[in-house]
Amino acid sequence: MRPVVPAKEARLQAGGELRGILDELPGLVWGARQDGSLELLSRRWGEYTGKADAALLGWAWTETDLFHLDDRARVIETWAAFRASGKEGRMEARLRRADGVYRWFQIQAGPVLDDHGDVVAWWGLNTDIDDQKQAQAQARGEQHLLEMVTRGEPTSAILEGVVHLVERGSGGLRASILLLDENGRTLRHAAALTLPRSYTEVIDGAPIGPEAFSCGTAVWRRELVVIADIETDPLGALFRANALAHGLRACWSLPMLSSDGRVLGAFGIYATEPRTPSKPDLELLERCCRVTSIAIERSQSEDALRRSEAYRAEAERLSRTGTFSVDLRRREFAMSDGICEIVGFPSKSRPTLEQILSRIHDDDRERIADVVRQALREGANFDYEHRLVMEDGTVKLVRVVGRSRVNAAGQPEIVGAATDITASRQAADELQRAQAALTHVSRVTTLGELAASIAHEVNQPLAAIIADANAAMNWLAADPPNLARVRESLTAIIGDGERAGQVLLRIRSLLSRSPPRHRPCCLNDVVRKVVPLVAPELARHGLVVKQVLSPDLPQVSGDPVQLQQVVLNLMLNAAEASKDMPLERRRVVIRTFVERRASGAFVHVAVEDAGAGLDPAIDMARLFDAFYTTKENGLGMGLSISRSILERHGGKLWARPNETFGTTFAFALGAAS
Amino acid sequence: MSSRAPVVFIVDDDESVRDGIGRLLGSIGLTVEAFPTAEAFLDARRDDTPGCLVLDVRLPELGGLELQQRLLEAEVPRSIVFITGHGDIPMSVRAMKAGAIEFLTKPFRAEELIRAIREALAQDLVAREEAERLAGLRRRYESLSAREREVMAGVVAGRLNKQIAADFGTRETTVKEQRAQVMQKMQASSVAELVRFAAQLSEDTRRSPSSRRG
Repeated sequence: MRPVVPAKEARLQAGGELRGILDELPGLVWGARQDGSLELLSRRWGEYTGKADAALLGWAWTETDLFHLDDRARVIETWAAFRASGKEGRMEARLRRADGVYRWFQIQAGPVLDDHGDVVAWWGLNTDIDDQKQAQAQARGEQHLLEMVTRGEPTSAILEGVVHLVERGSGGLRASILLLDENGRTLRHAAALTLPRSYTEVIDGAPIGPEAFSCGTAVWRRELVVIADIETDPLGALFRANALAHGLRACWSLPMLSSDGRVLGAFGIYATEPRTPSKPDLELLERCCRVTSIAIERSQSEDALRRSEAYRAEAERLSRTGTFSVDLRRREFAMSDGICEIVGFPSKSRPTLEQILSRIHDDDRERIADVVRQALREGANFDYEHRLVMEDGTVKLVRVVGRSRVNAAGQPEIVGAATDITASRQAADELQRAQAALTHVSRVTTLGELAASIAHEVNQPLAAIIADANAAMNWLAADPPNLARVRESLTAIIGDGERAGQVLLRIRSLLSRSPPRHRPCCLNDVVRKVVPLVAPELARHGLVVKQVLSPDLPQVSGDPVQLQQVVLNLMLNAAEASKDMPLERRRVVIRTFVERRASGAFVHVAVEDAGAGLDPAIDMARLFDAFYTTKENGLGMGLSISRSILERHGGKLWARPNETFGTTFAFALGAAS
Repeated sequence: MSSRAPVVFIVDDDESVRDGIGRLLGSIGLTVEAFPTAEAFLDARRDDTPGCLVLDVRLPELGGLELQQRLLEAEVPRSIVFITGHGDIPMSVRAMKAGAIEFLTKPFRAEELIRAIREALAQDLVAREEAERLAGLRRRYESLSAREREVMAGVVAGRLNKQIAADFGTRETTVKEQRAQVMQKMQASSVAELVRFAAQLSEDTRRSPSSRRG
């Protein structure tokens, strides 16, 4: 609406009834002459600016600090432009309030025309748009921050942006952001702009608790904590001296919570005067908290994602594993870096499926094709090992496990993981060799302990041979020579010589490192070979050995030398357990017998002693562990080795306490078919 | 003195050793009895048979050294030649301290064994002769009447007949007759010999007051 009134009339009206109306209008109403000088101001001008009308009327306003210094020139220019155009116009500028705060106003100006359409005067209305403006700026700021979050910019930059937004929006307040430490017990300084470093350094590592300044308390209570006056509020005690030294008098903190309710940290606002937050302050704080929470949570989950991705890559690297998928119809191939590593292509290179398949050992290719075809046909899992030939000709052993499935696009695909098992297979082979060596060492050690009794056993026939040879000499020297007696002695000499030879043969076969050779053997023979070896050792402790051997024992398949080792270990074990027993309990019974089951016949060998027995609680579980021993001088290898020998023979070794005294160690092997 | 021929007892659980040694000793004309265990030897109760023992150290149940100890405790001394398949120094020291003649490690030379056995037999012979002589002396002493033993004690103590008669309140001539009886019964040719007999008897009594070998 354009008021079309005579200028004189208008001025008149403004002085009377109209003036009363103008004074009641919200906003600052003004009137200006044709030349632009102010000639009328509504009552609210005085209230807002705290200035007398005289200080502003005419062109006096241009001399004062009414407009923000940054806006003044623009206002004067725009005002001139309005007048030149003679048309209604709007502009925005900051006007100083009585308390010194500049607030944004929208200034609306319109011409008063006479009957001829000429401008005779101007009217104007200044509307306070500061809150609106702030909200817009805030919204823009928040939008900007969220964009930063989305772009994945560094958390520190985003947090500083939040601090900036708060400080700009609140006029004179200072902000700080503290984040919960990984230990969950302290708060770490994360961002501040205007707070002095000497202060933020002090609050870095602030504790969390019921009386831990505003931030620590806010996190503790999970709610807003206001310290209106740091000097007097008991909650302020923790950092009081430091805060006051930096001119900080009030502080309020809001905890930042994640979407699932975890505390992420706290937002702190400082004022230089004792005060409580205004409603807009709180709204600002809450909005900034929200943005910050989003930023932090996002960065944490991205960190976690990056970490888990890094973990996966690390795990693949450590386990020498790579993962892959092949869409068979489209011939699309995806894989992790681990595959490159295994197949011997540079990291991050993208070898084609054909390139990868070309590395497979020629002899394995057909087998793999079969496995894959079968997996596709049956939708089954597959698990195979094959060789890869590297560019330099070295051969790697790879284990591939995977399955075929139908992917999201409805296409059959194969997913799987390949592991380079070259090293681990070599390690396993090494281990097996080491174990074999250990068995050998143990055998030799055992024999070392037995050396005395072996020497004894060889010396017996030697002593007899010498005695008989002398006897024969004597009978030959007699007159006449007693040839019958000579023959008798010579026969004995032959027998003893053979006996000594057999002893040595047995020792040699026990010591030999020949690889295990399975062949049909009779466990009775195994026992018969070992008993004479250990019997002297047992006799030394006054131990009696009794053999109860089943006459019709089926043969088993095995390495007789290794099985002898087991029997030897069990016999020595029994001897060890019973050597300190009273005389009547110093006996070892070794039995063989057949157990016939539906699944077949099993040949048992049981070595029974009446010795100290086993402590059922402790020993049973660990009995067969390597290096577990109850003997003072034992290595603890005997039973462990025995069991692994039995396992390699598909047999079983166990121990059970006897009803009266001692223990029975027994093993069983399936009869050879 | 016994007229019985000495026997070499062999205790060894190894049959061929037992038999081989038996044949060796048989070839030089020694009588041999062999046992597989110490218990079997003890059960045979051959304490009175002169001879010696060839003993294996390692035996099932009762060992060689234990057998030696038992024989000593039972006061049936036996000259022992130890043989072992695996001897150590502490073992041999123990055996020798307990009076063994020799400690031979198998395989030993036949001459060594034979020399040791001859030494053992000689020691056994001497011991048995001495034991028999002492036994005869004791029998002679036991044939004395109570008064004659008192007279003998007086004579051995160097008292004159007159003094002994005064001790007993008898006449000197009676003591003189009794003294002649003592000398005759004890088969002593002089007072000096009687004194020596008395010393041997008292030594024997002191050493083994209760049991003695017959």
